[in-house]
Amino acid sequence: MRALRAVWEWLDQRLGLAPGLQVIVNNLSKPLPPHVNWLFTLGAALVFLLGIQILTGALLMVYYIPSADQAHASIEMIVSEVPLGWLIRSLHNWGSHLIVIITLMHMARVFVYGGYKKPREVTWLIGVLLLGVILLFGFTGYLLPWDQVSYWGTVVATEAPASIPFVGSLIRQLLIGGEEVGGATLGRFFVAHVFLLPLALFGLMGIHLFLIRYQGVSSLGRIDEPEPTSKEMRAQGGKSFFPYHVLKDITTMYVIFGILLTLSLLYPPFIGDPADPLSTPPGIKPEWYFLPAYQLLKYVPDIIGVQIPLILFLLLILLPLVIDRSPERRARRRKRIVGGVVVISVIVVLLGILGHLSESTQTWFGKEYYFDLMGMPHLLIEIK
Amino acid sequence: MRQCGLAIAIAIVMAPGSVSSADLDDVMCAICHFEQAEDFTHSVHYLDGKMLCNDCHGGLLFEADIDIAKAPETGFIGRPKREVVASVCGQCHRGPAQFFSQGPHHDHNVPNNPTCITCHQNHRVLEATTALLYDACVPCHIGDSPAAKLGVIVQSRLQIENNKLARTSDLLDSMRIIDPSLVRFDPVLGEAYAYIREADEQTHAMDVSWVEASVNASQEKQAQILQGVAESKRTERLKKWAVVGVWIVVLINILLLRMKSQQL
Repeated sequence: MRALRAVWEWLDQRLGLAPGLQVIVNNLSKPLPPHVNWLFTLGAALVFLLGIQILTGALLMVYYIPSADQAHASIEMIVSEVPLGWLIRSLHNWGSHLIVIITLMHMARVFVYGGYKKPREVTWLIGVLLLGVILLFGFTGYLLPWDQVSYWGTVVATEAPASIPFVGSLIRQLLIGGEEVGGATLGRFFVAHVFLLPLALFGLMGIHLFLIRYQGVSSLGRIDEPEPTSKEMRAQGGKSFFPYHVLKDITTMYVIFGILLTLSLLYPPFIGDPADPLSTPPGIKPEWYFLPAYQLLKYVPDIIGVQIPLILFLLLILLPLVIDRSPERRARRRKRIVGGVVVISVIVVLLGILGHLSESTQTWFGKEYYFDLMGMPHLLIEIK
Repeated sequence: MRQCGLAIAIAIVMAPGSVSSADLDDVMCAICHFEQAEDFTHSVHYLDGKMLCNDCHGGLLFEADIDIAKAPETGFIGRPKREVVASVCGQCHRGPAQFFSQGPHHDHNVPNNPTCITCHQNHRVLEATTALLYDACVPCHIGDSPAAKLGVIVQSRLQIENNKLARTSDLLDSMRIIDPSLVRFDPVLGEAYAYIREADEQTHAMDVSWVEASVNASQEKQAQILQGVAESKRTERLKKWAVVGVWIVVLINILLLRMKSQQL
C-alpha cells in the first residue's frame, strides 16, 4: 500500500494528476436517482461482454487464417488442436449472441424510462449507432468460419442490398468485393470485423460512456422540470454510483459470466462442412437477429423489404428528435408511443419466429408439421 | 436402316433411367451399336455421368464419317483384345488392376482365366459391391470349392467392416454436434475408409491375408476414433460438473458482494 502511494506521489509530482483524479472521484460519488435498479446494470454488462469478445477475438486471431483456402481448416485446428481453443471459440460465439440480446434489453430499458429525452438525445443516437456496429460485427463474423451455413447465409444476406434502388448493385459489389461471395468477401469481412468495426466501437463507446457520466442518469420527471440536484436525490434515497451501483454492476457481470460459461461449455458451436460455392445446402438462414428482415423479404417485393429495416433504424434515430418530443418520461404517460413500439416489436418478433420455423419440420403436441417458405404450417403426420 | 438405328438409339437414350450428365444423344456409335448402347445406359459408368464410348474404345464420338471416327490417330482400338482388357480398365481403376496382376487370374494366356469383364461385365458394367464378390466366383467355382468358400469369407468380412465403419462414421457425426473438437478424427475416419477401399481393391489379388491386413488397419483407425469418442463422453460429464462449479463460484461471489453492500 505504501509502495503504491509512493508511485502515485511520484507520478502526481510530475504529471499533476491529483486535480483530474478529484474530478473523477467527485463524479463517481455523485448520487443516482432512487429509481435506478438492476435494469440499469445492463450497460455495464455490455462493456464486460465486449471486453470478453476483444480478449477471445484476439486469441482466435492468433490461429485464424482469413483466406478461402485455409479459414475452415484453421477453425478446425482451433477447436481440435489448440488447448481450450474450442472454449475460446464457444465463448466468442455465445458472447456475440448475448451482446445482441443485452443491447436490445438495454435499449428497451432506456425507452421505457424515457432516458433518451432532452438533454440526452446524443447519448441515444450514439447508442443506436452502437447497435448498428454490433449487428455488423455479427454479420461480418458469421462468414469467418467459411463453412456451408456461413457461406450461403452470407450469400442470401448480401443479395438483399442489391435491391436498393440505383445504388444497390454497387453497394453489393463493394460489400462482397466482386460479383459473387468469395475470397475477396472473406478478406473484407475480416478487416471490418477485427479493425474497422472495433475502431468504430471504441470511439462510439467512449463518447457514449463519457456522456452517461457527464450528464448522469435521467430522473423520471418531465423534461421541462429541472432535474433534481445531488442533495435532493440523496434526500429521496439515491445512493452514489461508487460503490453502491458498482457492486450491483459487478453482481450482474458475475451472473452474465455464469450464463456465458454455461452456454459455452454445454453448447459449443458446430462446425459445418467447408464452404462449397457449387452446392447449396437446404434451409439456409442468417443469424437469429437478421431473421425478421430475412422473413420480411419473402412477403414483400425486395425493393420494399430491404428498405423497411433501414426505415426502422432511421425511426430509432429520429425517436428523440422528431417522433417523441413530449415532455413526459414516465411510460404510462406516453401511451401512444409506447403502444406503437410494442406493436412494431411484436411484429418483428413474429417475423423472427416465422423465419425460424420456415422450411423446417416441427413436432408439436404429437403432430408433425412442415412449415413452408412463408412459415405456414402443413400437417404431415399424426404421431400416435 | 441407318435412320431406324438412329431412332432406336434416341429411344434408348430418352428412356427413363438415363440420368447421365454425359449424353448419348449425339453419339454416332449408338446408331450402329445400339444393343451395346442400350446395355451401356444401365451401366454404372453411364449412370455416374462420367463416361462415354470413347473412354474405353477411343475414336470420335460425334463424327458421322466412320473412317474419320475410327482413324488410328483418334486412339480407336475397337473391341479391346483379351490381353489388354485389364490395362484398359486399369487406366482409371489402377488399384484393382495392379492387384489383379498379382493374383491367380492374371495370366491371360490361360484360356479359363477371367478378365475384368468376366465379373464386372463390359457395357452393362456392374457396381463393384461386396455382393458381386461372391456372385462373380460361383459361376466358375462350385459352391463348396475352396475358392468359393474364400469368396464367402472375404465377402462377409468386408460387409461386416463396411457396416462397422458406417456406424463409427454416424457416431462421430452425432458426437461432433456436442463436441466440435472431434473434428480431429475426420482424417482418421478418412484413413479407415481408405484402408477398406484398399481391401476392396485387394480382393482382385484373391489373397485373404492382404485383405485381412487392410481390414485390421482400418479397425485400428476405428478403435482410435471410438477411444476419442469415449474420452469425449467423459469430458462431457466433466463439463457438466464444471458448470456446477462455475455457478457455485458465481453464487459465493454474489453473496460476498451482497454482504459488502450491506456493510456500507
